[in-house]
Amino acid sequence: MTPEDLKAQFGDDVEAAEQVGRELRLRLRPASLVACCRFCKERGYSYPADITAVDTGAEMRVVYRLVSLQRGEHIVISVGVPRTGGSLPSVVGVLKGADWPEREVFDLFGVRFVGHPDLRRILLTDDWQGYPLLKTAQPAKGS
Amino acid sequence: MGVTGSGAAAPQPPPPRSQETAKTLARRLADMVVLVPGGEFILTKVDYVLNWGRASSIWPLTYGLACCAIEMMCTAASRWDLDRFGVMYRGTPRQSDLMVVAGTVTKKMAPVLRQLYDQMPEPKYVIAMGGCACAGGPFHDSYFVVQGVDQIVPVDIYVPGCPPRPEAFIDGIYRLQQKIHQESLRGRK
Repeated sequence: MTPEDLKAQFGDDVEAAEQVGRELRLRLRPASLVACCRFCKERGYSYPADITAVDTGAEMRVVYRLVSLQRGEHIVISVGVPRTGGSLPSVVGVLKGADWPEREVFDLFGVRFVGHPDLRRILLTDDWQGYPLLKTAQPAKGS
Repeated sequence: MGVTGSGAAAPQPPPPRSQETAKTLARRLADMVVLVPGGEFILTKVDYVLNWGRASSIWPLTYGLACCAIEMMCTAASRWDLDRFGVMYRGTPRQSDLMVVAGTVTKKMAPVLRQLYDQMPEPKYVIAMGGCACAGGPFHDSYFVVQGVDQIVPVDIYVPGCPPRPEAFIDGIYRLQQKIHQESLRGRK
């Protein structure tokens, strides 16, 4: 798959796309996220190797890394959401392996995934307050 | 079994096994054991025999949580061979005397650790292996790491290191054995 394929398919929702080695890097608007994951999955990029997020200070970038095990190529999709209270459509309906990674991003960064079947904390205890990997999080004193 | 003869000296805590020669072992046994002339009895102290049995058959509960567990496992394997000291790992708290907490304890794991400790029969001991179990280690002041397992269970021996080498862990076992040798039926010292 080339950056041009994705630009032709999703038009203005593709903010930027570039090929770096065996990795296609894509900045996408949230509206096309689920459609893009389905598009990639149908073309062999069916393994969601990682879902994580980056708090840049200005916004939260949620990063999806899809891998084609047949071709050994990656597609990295980066989607921007507000730093706090942000939400995205869940891709669990397309990629079942996204279930726990999405829970982890919710747990540590506070991004809500609309349509997730079981959006609970996964690493921290249920009574934990706040989201520890936000840049503004106060380091909790060890007890 | 009975009490020692009145001439027997008060038992001294044994030296570390690593320094123990046949001569010192014989001298220590002479303090502990009285052969009755012409008889077929060995008189010794109940405390000594019980402590000897406990210290020579420490069965730890495997509690590997992180990289320290790798060192703990290889200490049990053929190169360092913990079986030499009667240390054999068990997969259940109900057969264990010792809990080796090897690794990072998160706050989510803490209640599970306490429950397993409570399921161990007395007498029971705890070794905190590695920096994380001793005091949080590299996760000092972290938001989700228990700052030392002694906040959850009473710890007998701390083995520092990140992770400790097997020799350090074996030294921890030695020191626990020394500690056990100083116990008495009249209560833990």
